[in-house]
Parts: sequence; C-alpha cells; structure tokens
Amino acid sequence: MRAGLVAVLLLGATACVGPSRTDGDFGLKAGNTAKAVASALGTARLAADAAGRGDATGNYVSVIVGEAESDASAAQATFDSYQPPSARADQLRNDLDDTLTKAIDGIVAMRITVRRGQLDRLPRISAELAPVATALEQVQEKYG
Amino acid sequence: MKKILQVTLGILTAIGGFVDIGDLVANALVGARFGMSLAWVVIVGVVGICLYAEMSGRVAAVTGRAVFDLVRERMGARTALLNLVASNLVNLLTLAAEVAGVALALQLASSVSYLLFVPLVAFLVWFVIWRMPFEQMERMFGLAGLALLVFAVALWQLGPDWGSLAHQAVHPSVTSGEGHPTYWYYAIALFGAAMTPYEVFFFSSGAVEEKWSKADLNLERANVYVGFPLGGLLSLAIAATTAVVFLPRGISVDHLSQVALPTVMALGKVGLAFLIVGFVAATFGAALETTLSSGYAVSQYLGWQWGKLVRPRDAARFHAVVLVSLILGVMLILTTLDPIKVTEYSLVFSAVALPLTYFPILVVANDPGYMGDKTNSGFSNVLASGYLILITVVAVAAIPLMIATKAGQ
Repeated sequence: MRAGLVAVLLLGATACVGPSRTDGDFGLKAGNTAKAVASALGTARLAADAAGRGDATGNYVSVIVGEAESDASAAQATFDSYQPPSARADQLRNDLDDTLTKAIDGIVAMRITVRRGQLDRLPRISAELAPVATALEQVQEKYG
Repeated sequence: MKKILQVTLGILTAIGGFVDIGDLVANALVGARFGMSLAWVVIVGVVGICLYAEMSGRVAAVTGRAVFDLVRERMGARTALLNLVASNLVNLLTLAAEVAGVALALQLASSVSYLLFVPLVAFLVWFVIWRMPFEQMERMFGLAGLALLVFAVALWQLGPDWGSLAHQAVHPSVTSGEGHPTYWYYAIALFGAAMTPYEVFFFSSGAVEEKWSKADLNLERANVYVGFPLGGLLSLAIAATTAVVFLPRGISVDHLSQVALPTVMALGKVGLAFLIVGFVAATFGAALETTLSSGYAVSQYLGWQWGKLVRPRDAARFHAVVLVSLILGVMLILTTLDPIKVTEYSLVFSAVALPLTYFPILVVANDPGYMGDKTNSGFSNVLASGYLILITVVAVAAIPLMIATKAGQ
C-alpha cells in the first residue's frame, strides 16, 4: 500500500510542470516548445515525402501524421498554459504561437489529405512547410 | 535444420525479451537523442543477460526445476516473496505494454485505433497459451520475429557514415542540448530493458517445459549465446537507423510509428511489411513470455502444478494466474494510459527490481547441493559479482534520476 502510494507520488512528481518566474525561464520553455513542435513537424514531413515517393502506405502515414498532430497540439496547449512574466514575454508568446499554429495547420492539412487518399499531394504541402520548420529552428537556437 | 530449430527458445526469449516493445522504443529514442553513444550499454547488457540466463538455464537443466522454485527453497519464503512481488509488479507493467505493442503494430497496418485491438490481442495471447504446444509457440514467434532483421538491411540501405557511427560508439559523449543526468537515465533504461527479470524466469521455466537435462547443456549455451547477442545486434541496428535519420534533424521518438520511419524511407512498403510482421511477432512473443512468467513465478513460489506440458485441468491455478494477469494488464491499457510511457516506466522499475532477481540466481548456481559439479566457474563468479555490484548501483540510481530528469525530458 505504502509502496504503491510512493510510486504514484513519484510518477506525479515527474509529470509536474513548473511556473515561469523570469523572462529567461519563459524563453527556455519557448525553446523547448519549439523543439517539440519542430520534431512533430519534421516527422510528419519525412512521412509525407516517403508517401509521395510511393514508399509508405496511406494507413501508416495516417497514423504517424495523426500522432504528430496530437504531439504538436499538446505542446502548444502546454505552452499557452504558462504565465508570461512580462510584456516582453507576451511578445515572444504571440510570435511563437503564430508559428506553432502555422505548423499545426500544416500537419492538419497533411492529415486531411492522406485520409482522402491523395498521397501524391503530400510532398507539396511538406515543401510549403519548410519556412515554418526554419522559423521553429531559429526559436530553438535562440532560446533552447 | 533441426539444430537451428533447437535454438528457437533462445531466439524467442531474445526476440521477445530483448527486442520487445521496451527495447524497440528505448533504442530508437536513444539513437535519435544520443546517436550511438549509448551503444556500450547494450553490449554491457548483452554480456550480463548472457551470463545470468546461462546460469538460470543451467540450473533448470541440472536440477529439472525452474529458478523461482529453487529461490524459495534456498532463500526462504520471505526473501522469495519480496522477489515475487517486485518482479510480478514490473512484469504486469511490461505485460500491459507488450499487449499494447501488438495493438500499436496492428494500428500501423490498419489505421484503426490500437485500443480496439487490445481485447482481441489479449484473447489471442490467452488462446495461444491455452492451446498451442510450447515448442510450436516458440518456433512460430521466435522465427517470425527474425523479420526485425530488416532494421539491419535498412541501415545498410540508408548508406550511413559508418566511421561516424563507430566513432560515436567508441568515444561516447553527451550530445549538445542534453544533460549528463538524462544520458545516465537512458543508460539505466537501456540496461533495464536488456536485463528485464521476466527473461530469466521465462528462459528457465521454458527449459523445464522442454525437459532439458545435463545432456542438453551445450544446447542451452547455444540458445543463450545465439539468441541474446542476436537481440543485441538488432538493438544496435534500431538505434543506428534513428541516429542516422532523426539525430541530425532534431527529431525525438515518442511513438512506435516513428521507430518504423527510417526503414520505410530506406526500403519502402516492403520494409514496412517486414517491420509490422516483426513488431507483431516480437511484442506478441513478449506478451506470451510476460503472461506465462507471471503464472510460472506465482505457481513455483506456492508449489502449485504449473506449465503448458501439464493438462490445464491439472494446472488450473497456474492458468487462473495467467488469466488474471492478462486481464489486469488489459485493464491498465484500456484506461488510455500512453503505452509508450508505460513502457518507459516499466524499464526503470525493472532496473530497480534487478538485484532481487539476479542475486538469488547467483546463490543457487553456486550451491553444490543443487548443482553437483555444475556450479559456476571462478571466472563466472568474478564476472557475475561485478554485475551484481553494477545492478545494485543501477537500482539505487534509477528512481532519483527519474525524478531529477522528469523521466528523461
């Protein structure tokens, strides 16, 4: 019983998210969010390119893109839940949120396209998302 | 051909135990974040599991009794109970993760939610345990699991910079953007994945099911020294594919679907088909092993009739434990807990439980009362004692590192 309680508390402790008290801390959280969304976007783009070459089945790409969408949306929701500590942090929050939304919209477009069976259109959507991926990388480099 | 088929217990134990859902995810994740700089952990893990699996198989072959049976007799009821509770809790987490792993693999093929497959997979696991002969079961899933060799083909096809991969492996370092605690947290997870306790319980009980005797010691060693290194080789190939494709792009691995992506990029739909067969075989094999291990451990501790060679009517309590374990594992996954997180936690808790599993094996393998002239050699004991110290350090460090790194974030 006691061991079970300790295990639950440990699992809870590892899942906790700390508040942002300074601009530096908020910037670090922005960098980590950009990293997580860039990872999801990168995965979706690689899968889309493979599907465009005829290397992947629609079912597989549907799963991997769907999971990328969930990951990116969860990362954005977590970032939006942080309290920005200053007006400067407000600006960073707004700028990054715009980029995150573009990335998620792009992944959603891929998911809709693949579930319509239009795999040949995926590489074009992937190419259009290249500037968004670059913008996320820049945030990572600056704040990560 | 007959000799090749005789090592299928080792291959099933290694494919199901060494390349289960935990290894598939952990190796891919580590490759994507640290390249090959944790390859040394896989090698240390392979040597350790070979050492202790050989010991447990030898004990089973010489005494005709499985490890847990002897642990209770030799170490006493209380110590064995602690071992039983700890290893069965870890086993339950692992079982849940394996059932989810089969369902996730089927999801990749069908795009139908894995949760819908979970009850079906659990039923099939129970049905195979209930109906399929042990030898047929190990041959079918052990050999189908060899489809995972496609990882090695994919790695070759990706045309990596072999020198760079070798350099990362030989000169391990923490990649930029990662901390030392995270590096060591994943080292422990990989080590826990390689030395998961159920592997030795299954291997020794399987040896009893196959009626191995002293005359089969060479076969027993062949199973260990072919099966587990093969599992280690696959683990390295998985890590290398993600190191080549994901590490330079800053992509982290959080899903089974991502583990397949480098192979899909290299080998297309044929590669994907092989992978899905391999994923299903490996995780299904591991689900069989973990489910059976729960039944083996409890029945051997309580002195009940156990095993697949015995008619179910004569081993009713063994089959009841198997069924209850399976139902508990399914219930855990149907709560919609992320199966990959369950896998990651099971690896770390597995590391914590390691000393409770391996210390009694070492004691029994050195007892001439059981082993006669087949006790450990001096070299084995030196190596095994070194590993026991390592295992203890790992067990002590696992939980603090999990908290310090927020479970490797």
